[in-house]
Formats: sequence, C-alpha cells, structure tokens
Amino acid sequence: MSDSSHDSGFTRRDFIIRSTKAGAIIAASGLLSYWLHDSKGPKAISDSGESAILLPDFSMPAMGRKMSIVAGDDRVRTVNLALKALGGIETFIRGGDRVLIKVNAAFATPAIVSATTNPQLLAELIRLCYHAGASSVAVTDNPINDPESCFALTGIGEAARTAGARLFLPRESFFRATTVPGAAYIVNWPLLYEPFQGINKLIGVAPVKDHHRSGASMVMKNWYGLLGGRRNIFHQDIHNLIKELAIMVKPTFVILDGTTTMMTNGPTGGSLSDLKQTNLMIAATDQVAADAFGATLLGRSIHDLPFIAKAEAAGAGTADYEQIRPERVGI
Amino acid sequence: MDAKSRKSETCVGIVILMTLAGIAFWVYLKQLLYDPAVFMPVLHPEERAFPEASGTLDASWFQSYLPEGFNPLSSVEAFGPENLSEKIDGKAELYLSAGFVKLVSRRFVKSGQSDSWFEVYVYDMGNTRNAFSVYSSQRRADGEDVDFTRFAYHSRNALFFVHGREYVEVVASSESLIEEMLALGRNFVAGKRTETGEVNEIALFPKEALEEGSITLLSSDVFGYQELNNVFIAHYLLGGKRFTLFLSARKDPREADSLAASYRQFLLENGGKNQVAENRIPGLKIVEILDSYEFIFAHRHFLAGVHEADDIAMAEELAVMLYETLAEVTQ
Repeated sequence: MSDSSHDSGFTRRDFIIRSTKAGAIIAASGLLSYWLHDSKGPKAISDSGESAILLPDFSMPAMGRKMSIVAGDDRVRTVNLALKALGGIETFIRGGDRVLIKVNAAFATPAIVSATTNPQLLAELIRLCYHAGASSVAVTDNPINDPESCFALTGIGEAARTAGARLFLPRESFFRATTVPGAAYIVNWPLLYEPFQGINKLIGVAPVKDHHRSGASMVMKNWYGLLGGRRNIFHQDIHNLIKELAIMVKPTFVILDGTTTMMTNGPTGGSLSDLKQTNLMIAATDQVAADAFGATLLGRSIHDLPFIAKAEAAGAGTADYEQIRPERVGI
Repeated sequence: MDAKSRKSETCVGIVILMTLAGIAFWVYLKQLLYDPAVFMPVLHPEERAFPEASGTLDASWFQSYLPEGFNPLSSVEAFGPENLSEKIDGKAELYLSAGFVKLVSRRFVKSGQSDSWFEVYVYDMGNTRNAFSVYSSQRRADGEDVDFTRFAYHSRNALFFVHGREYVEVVASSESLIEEMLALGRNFVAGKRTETGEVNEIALFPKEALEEGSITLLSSDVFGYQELNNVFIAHYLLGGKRFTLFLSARKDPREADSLAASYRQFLLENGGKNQVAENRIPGLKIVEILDSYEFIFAHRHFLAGVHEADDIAMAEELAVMLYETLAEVTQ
C-alpha cells in the first residue's frame, strides 16, 4: 500500500473491515457455487450408481479349440452338420441351460441383402438349443438403427418369437457400465447387460461381410452391438476396439454364416450384386479362428484385417485356424 | 500503511490469486476428463426417433414421386455428418470424406403386400461432383444402365443414381419391385428440377479399351497415399490384361508437379525402385513396386498416370494415350 493511501487515512481498522468484506464475498461465492454444483453430473447409462460389471466367461475350456466348416447352401442343414462336427449341440447346451444368442441386427434392411443374421439360421439355432434341453433362449442386439424396425424388417424378430425365444430390444435400463481389463476404449462404457442376467451359455451368430472401416465384419465385430453410448467414436481405431471386444466376450461357441458373403459395399450393402454365394457354414469355439477363416471368403488375408492378429496377441484365440484342425464336411 | 500491513495485504492477495489459479487449473483438468459414454442420449425406443423425423421435414416427403399403390412404411429420418453412422455404420466414412451434407430416408410399402417394400435414401452431397464420387465408388459391376439421368443404374433389387447434388439409393425387399423403383426414379428426376453439374474429367479419359462404367472418383487416401485426393480412376482392358489409369485436376501446374514428386517419393520410401522411362511423355517417372509398375506424370494442372500395371509396355501405351488426350484438350 502506498504512502499516499496512508496519508488519505487508510487505517488498520479499514483494512480489517475491507478484508472481512472481501472474505465474506468469497465465502458467499463459494457457498453459491457449492449449492449450484451438481456432483452427480448428467444421468448416464454408465452411471446408474451401481458398480461396473464384467461379463462372465461363457466358454467351455474343457471343449478345447474346435472348428468345423461345412459346405452347402441350405443353412438349416449346414448349421446342423457344423455343430455335429463339433460334437453335437448337446456337448454345449445341456438340460436347464439358459442361452443368449447375440445376432447381428444392425440395420433395418431386408434379409435378402444379407447385412444381418439370417432369420432361418437363427430359428434353427433356437430350435437346436431347445432340443438340447435349454430351459430358455433369448435373442438380443443393440442395432445402430431403430431397434424395433431392425428386428421387424430383417425377419429376426419374427424368427425368434416363432421359435420360442425371448427378444431383448435395448432399453436405457438394460445398460450397465463395464470395463475390459487393460482396455483403452471399453472403460466404464455402457454394455447391454440385462439380457445376460441369469444366462449361462452365449452364442454369437453373424454373417460374413465386407466393412468399409474394419475390412470385415464377422463374429468378433458382431459384439460391437453389445455396446451402448456414442460407440461410433471407436471407428477411428476399429481394429483395437474389436480386439477389446474379443477380450470382453468369451462365448460358448460362435456361428459364422458364410452361405452368402457380402463382398463389397459393406457393412450395409444394399444390392444383391454385393453378394456372393460362398456356401460355407462355420462353427467354432475359437472366435479368432472363425474370423481368420472368414477372411478367406472375402479374399482377404489376416494381414488385411489387423484386428485378427491383435485379438490373437491378446489371447482371444488363434489366427492359424489350420492349427486347430477344423473338421471339414462336404468340401 | 506500515510495513507489516503491506506484507499482510500482499499475502492475502497472493492467497486469493493462488486460489483462483487453482480453481482455473481444476476446471482445465475436469474438462479433459470428458466421458463420451456419459454424455449420450438415452436409449428408450420411443425417444430414439431422430429429431428431424417429425420436425422440420414434411410428413409427405417423397410421396409425390411414388408409383401408384405405395404408402409410407416408416416416418422420415434425417441424418447429418454428426450422426450419419447411426444409419449406415462404417460406411459413413465414405460419404463424409466426399463432402456429405445430409441424408433423408424413408421406407414405403406396397398396399396389401407387407413384404414388398423399399427404402429410399437421398444423400445431399453438396454438389454433383461429390455425388458422383459416392455413386461411382460403389458402382456394382453388373449394374444395368438406366436412361432417365446421366449417372444411373440398377441391380436386381436396387436403383442408384445422381440427380443434381443428390445421390439416391432405392433398396427393395425383393427382386419383384424393380419396375416400381424405376418409375419412382423417373418421377423424382422429372419432378425435382435441379441443375446437374459437369464432371469434366470423365471426358478426358481415352475411349479406346475403356471398360464401360468404370470411371470412379476417389475422394481421399487414394492408393494408400494420404496426400492424394480427388482422383479419377478408369479401368482399361488391353491384350487381355486390366489396367488402371488415374487423373486428378489440381489447383495449378505447380501443385500437380509437386504432388507427382511426393507420390513418387512415397512409393520409393515403401520399397519402390526407379525405372528408366522413355521420352514419350515429358517428366514421366516409372516406379517398380511389388512386382507392378506405377507411371506418374504431370501435364499442366493435371496429375496422371497408370496404377499397378503388370505389363510395362502396355502401360506405357496407355499412359501415352492419356497424355495425348490431355495435351489436346489443354492446348
């Protein structure tokens, strides 16, 4: 403080009064900020107040790594043969099992464009599960388009209902936050968890498709539909995200439908010209091996699809599918 | 004021400033912890309708172009660059890199035939050139040309065309709707007056040995080189072999020269080797890479060449043809 202020009569008393006033203003501001502060933030799917969950391991390690490849254009027949080659569906699904089938219902497009899981294949898979003694079968996906339209227009909804499965369309309350250990992206991220409640077997079933961003969409990419939130931001590093999905989900087995392969313009396609009859059905306990084989249907190598090698390196399976000696039927 | 008071005042001032700096730093840190999983829209099916679906868009959208006997099956949906991937997933990148502005889509169903429906997608690409880019880069090889507009074709279940600045796709649920889709396309082109811009580069490709319908405009990351954008490619069949010619109009001759040099350098850095070129094209450079040959030259403001040719002699013939055409039009 300058001498001039001293000269003007600014005393110790004045200083204390002013300091007290300033302190009171600061305290009032602090209290007001505290009163206005929303410590919880906006309500979010991943912030339901419950602790983060981890998906259980649905694989059956005792079964080992198995794969079958069956030739034919009749999905009902080939999926039966493919599962038989793995030891029969009874090996995986037993009396009283509660099964969840994760389909690819990403788009509200007609079944003929093969952008989604084939309804006939799904119906047969549900039938097989019940035949093996499953007490319940549920079907789910969190499509990027309007879920009701997706399940209705793809034929998946009707196929599931007709075959006696329960359909889980995503709702806000169905999501819980999950974190994949060691992940960079799936950290406290909303996961479509409700359909998993009480189930003890998980099957993934997806078509083989070209994908503009990842190069291919097959069984590992299909788990993408379990995520909620603004998941499209992951497209910037899609290969590492698929790797994290493969770590997150350990299915009982997967079905990769290579009966009709979307060779170009994926993942939506739209024209029958995008499709090729490749007439193969793949069943596997090793999702990485299934995708590695699926890559060959697209005329691509493992090097073209980095997520396969990344998933293998993360311990999700083996990219060298010949190593697990796949059963070939009708080839 | 005495020395003691000055010191106290200074201390209080420093404490206040430090507190403010601390708050500012805390705010700075907090904003870095933005969690996209938290800040997302809720997922109630009834709330997933797209904002513009019932808002700014007319409920009668597109109905005036429909053939007789078709009615809306869904509401109008609209997507911008920020949420295009919610409709077409990974393919959004293709549109976004080509200048996408907006997508409006809607499904229509044939009266009394619930399984006979199609979805119309109208992509506003900003200008004809951008629309041609997404049209040509997805062109199906077996597509049949349609005569109601310059860039149009259909496949067995779908119709694709450019009208003004819009790229239009119509995807049907069955092959039986092709006549109705063509009628719809004709109605749209005739009923919606717009100016279709020129895509001048198309005329610059030599006609001899050109594969019909093969001219494509690639928007970005062309041939794996980030700097290479807005490149037209065209396929040629010569002596039973397939060749790809490329052509890109740059801002000025300097930019064309610079891009030719940097693209050549990119190839050399990735294992390419210089090859001796004859003097039939001024400035022609040839790089041998991965058992194929890349011809690169600049003429005036054009960058041009032959991509991944197996046969160096035939590739040179094609390069000369392209150069002569360019020389003629730029005289």
